[in-house]
Amino acid sequence: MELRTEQSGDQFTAWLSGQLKYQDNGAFRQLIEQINAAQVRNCVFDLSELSSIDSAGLGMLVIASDNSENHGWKIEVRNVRGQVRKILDLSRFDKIMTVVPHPADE
Amino acid sequence: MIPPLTPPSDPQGPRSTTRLGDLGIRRLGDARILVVEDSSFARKTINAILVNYGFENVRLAADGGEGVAIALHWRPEVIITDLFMPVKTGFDLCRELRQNPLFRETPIIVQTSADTPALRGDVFEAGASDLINKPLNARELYSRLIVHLERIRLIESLKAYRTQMREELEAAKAMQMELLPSDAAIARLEQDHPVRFAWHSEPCQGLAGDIWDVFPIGPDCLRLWTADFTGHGVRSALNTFRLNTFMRTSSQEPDMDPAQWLSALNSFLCEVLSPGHFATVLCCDLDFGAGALRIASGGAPQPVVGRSGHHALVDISGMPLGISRRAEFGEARLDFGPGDCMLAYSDALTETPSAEDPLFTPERLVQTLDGFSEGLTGRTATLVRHLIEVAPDGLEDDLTLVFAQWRDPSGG
Repeated sequence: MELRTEQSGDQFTAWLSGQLKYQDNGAFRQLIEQINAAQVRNCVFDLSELSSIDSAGLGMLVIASDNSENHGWKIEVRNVRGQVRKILDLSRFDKIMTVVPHPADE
Repeated sequence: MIPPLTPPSDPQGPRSTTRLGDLGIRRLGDARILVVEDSSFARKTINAILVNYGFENVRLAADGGEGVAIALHWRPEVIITDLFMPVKTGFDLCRELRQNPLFRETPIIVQTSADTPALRGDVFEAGASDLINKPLNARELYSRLIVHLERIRLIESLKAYRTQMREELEAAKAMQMELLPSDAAIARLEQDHPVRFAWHSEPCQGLAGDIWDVFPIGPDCLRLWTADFTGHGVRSALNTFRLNTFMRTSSQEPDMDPAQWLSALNSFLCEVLSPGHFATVLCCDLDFGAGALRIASGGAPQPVVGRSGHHALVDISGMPLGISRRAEFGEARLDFGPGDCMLAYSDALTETPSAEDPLFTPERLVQTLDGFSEGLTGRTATLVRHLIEVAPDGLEDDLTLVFAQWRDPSGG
């Protein structure tokens, strides 16, 4: 996973690219700590450049969702496409977070 | 006189920087050390040095022949030998012992007075591990001895540890295989119901995070389920045991439908799994009385149903189990009749060699199944063979495939 982040006022944005899998566990937990510390109200995970996600990657999104509830920020997963979108659909992640598909992935 | 460097009773003493005890290395004073030296004065001197440093287990040989003979029956951990001796030289001793697999790694320290580069090369070529110059310096001999002893004991300890781990994993794997339906149990179901099964379970790392089972829930109905815990290896394997225990000990309402059954399982897994861990689970009732398949899914890969050679994915989704107590599960109901079949599988089937570019996307899996003419067992074997072809170094995830077919009375 490659990661780029930006904070602007009340909003934190994280662009994740490449593959999200077990090996990214440490980096992802650091990212969550960073978001908690930023004390923002909204966090957008932009996945337009994320090509695949495995079950450990889904687990990280679950941890992000738990943290958002405990630390009072809202989570939105944006621009999901391809395999990532299929897995999120199959797992009904729209029930625990806002999931917005990529406009070109209809 | 030899300066005492360490308390004589403990040659591992203050010199040792690593906590060898923590690594399972016992004290070095009991090490079996063989000294091969034809000069009686030198032999006694080396013995005195070793005894002074606390080594209690030293044997002496007066020539290379005697040295080899003692080595073969006593199995010393380290050998200190002279080079030029009667009967057999130090070269002969090195060569002879190195040919014996038992002595391939035994440290052999050669003492030499004629120290030329060519001779050093010859000594190492003959199989020596180390050289030490004559006249012997007690502290140097001791230091070299300790280095070799520590190394050999670490290697032994690692080997023992690996052997133990391998044996324990084998035992755990055997236990885990017992969680899966036995051939006898499947044969009994096939006898009592108009059904035939073919299945394949393959852990990618000795132990699997996959588990499945099938059992009757009525005179004309079977419940088949598959589960895949996050990750693989020991941690997810332990979760399969938890799940199995829950299944066998919890009192389940007999008339629970697949969605209610997943809800009950979800409550249990939410309770026991740590954050970020979950299981994808498929539950499928094969109802021969009503001629129906009822399927509920907790994030499992979409199952496939087949009729008259045509296959299709079942459009069913649901949140994996163990994530949220609020998760709700829907149910798909499909007609099911003689000759029809279904396939449940773990995501290794549709994510090999990689999730980005799999051999079988769900759509390609359906096309492949359409093209099959072989029976259930042949289909399973062919799918597995194709996977191995694209992942020759082994799968990256645990694989489970379960075919169930309503036996066609006309087709036998």
